[in-house]
Amino acid sequence: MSPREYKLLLYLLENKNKVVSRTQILKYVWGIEYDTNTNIVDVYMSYLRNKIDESNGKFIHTIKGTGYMFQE
Amino acid sequence: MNLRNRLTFYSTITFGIVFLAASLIILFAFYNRSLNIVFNELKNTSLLSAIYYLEQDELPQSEHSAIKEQFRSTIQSSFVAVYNSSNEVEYGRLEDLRITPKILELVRQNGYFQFKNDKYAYYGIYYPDNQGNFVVFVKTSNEEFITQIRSLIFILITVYIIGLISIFFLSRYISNVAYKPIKDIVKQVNKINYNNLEHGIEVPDTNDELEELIKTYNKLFFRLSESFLIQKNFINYASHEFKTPLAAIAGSLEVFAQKERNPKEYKEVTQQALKNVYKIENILSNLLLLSGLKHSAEQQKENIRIDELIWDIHDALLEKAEEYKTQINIQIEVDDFNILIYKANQTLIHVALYNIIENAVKYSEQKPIDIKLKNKHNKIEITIKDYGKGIENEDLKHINTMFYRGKNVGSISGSGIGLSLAILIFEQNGIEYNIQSKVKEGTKITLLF
Repeated sequence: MSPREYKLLLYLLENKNKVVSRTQILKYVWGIEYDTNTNIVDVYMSYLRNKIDESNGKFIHTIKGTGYMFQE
Repeated sequence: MNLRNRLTFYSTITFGIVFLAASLIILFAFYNRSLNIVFNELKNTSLLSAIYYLEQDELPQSEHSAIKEQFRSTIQSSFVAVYNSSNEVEYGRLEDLRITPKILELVRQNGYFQFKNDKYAYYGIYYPDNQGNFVVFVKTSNEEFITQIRSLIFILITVYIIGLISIFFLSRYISNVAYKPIKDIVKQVNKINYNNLEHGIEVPDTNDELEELIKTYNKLFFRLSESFLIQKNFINYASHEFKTPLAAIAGSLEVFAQKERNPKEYKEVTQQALKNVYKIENILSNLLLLSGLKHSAEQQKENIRIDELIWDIHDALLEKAEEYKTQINIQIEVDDFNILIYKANQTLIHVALYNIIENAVKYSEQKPIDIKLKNKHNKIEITIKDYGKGIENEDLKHINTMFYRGKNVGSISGSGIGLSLAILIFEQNGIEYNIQSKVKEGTKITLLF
């Protein structure tokens, strides 16, 4: 797992069961504060999903229009 | 002796020798021809005299009187002598001691004899007749012949001297004309120094060897001026890069030495100093890398995530981007993260990518920079695009010349090392690169890992 993937996972775990927006993730993981139409969060989320075993159920949920949420 | 004088000297000498030889040939030919004419005339006169004196009894009266007329108009009797077989003068009044019995004997043997001295030319024929065997001798004055030869010699000498003088001045003038462009070049080269080297010499539009020579010289001057610039940039780079960490070490040590310190402070200052020492070491290794002394083969290779590198560089350049009032936008269009893994030396690739992105920031002209990572046939394609200054076509040729900086860099500080170092690293790691640039529209660098 790359450092930023790890940081992303860590952030999701810290906010377990809470919805975090893309802007929040962008700011925390990448330090990007300005508004960009970047796809980075989605790209890394897909990397992360590929890395954690989701055979026993989904952990990372996409909340449409808002952001992401980690839920066991 | 300078070139002009030498040219004049040589052409004068050459002309002198050629004309002297020609004059001698002319003189010799003329002398022989004139002498022949003189003796031929004498031969005719001697025959006429023989007939006049000796055939008086055998010819009819009328015929002889005609010959007598002719004889009188041609020759004086004092210039004719008819010798009998006992070497006595039978007719004529020519008494000349030079006509010796020995000569008369020669005439009898050969049929004729001719000779000349300073004043006269002599001709004798053997004339057997019914009255006895005679030798007829005639002579004529040499005066006219000698005058002719003398005047010819005089003309030749005059022409020779005038020719020499005019050739001397003419060739002097011509060599001056021919030498003028060289003189101009000497003048211009004298004015050339370290600062105006690249301007070179004005090329004369003469389409000759000289023009070619000057063009060649100008190329040399241009190369020289370039390497001067490169040298200057190298010194700038080395001194500037070394100065900062050295000053930092010196500064912290100076402050540190002012009073007693506790172990924690010792640790702090040594760490700080070490950090700067490593920085110097890094610069040195960059320089060594540039000089080709250190090859990437010696570098350790490991699996690196290219996107992580880009993010690290992004973070490291945040401050700089703020300083240049620009923003780095990163886009990733790779579905499979495995593609983002590349095996290489992390430090080197970091240096190369850092330099390129740093350049984009520095020359961005406050417009945002786009970095895009793409999957291209399972390889990573990185495009780094800025919309700033751009690189001039002329400078693009020097893109991998170390310490070369573009002409439009303005006041932006730099050493001309970044891009060339990056290219060197790309080449050593087999990374394809492509640089497209337009002045005032920006630069686009595409890399294929």
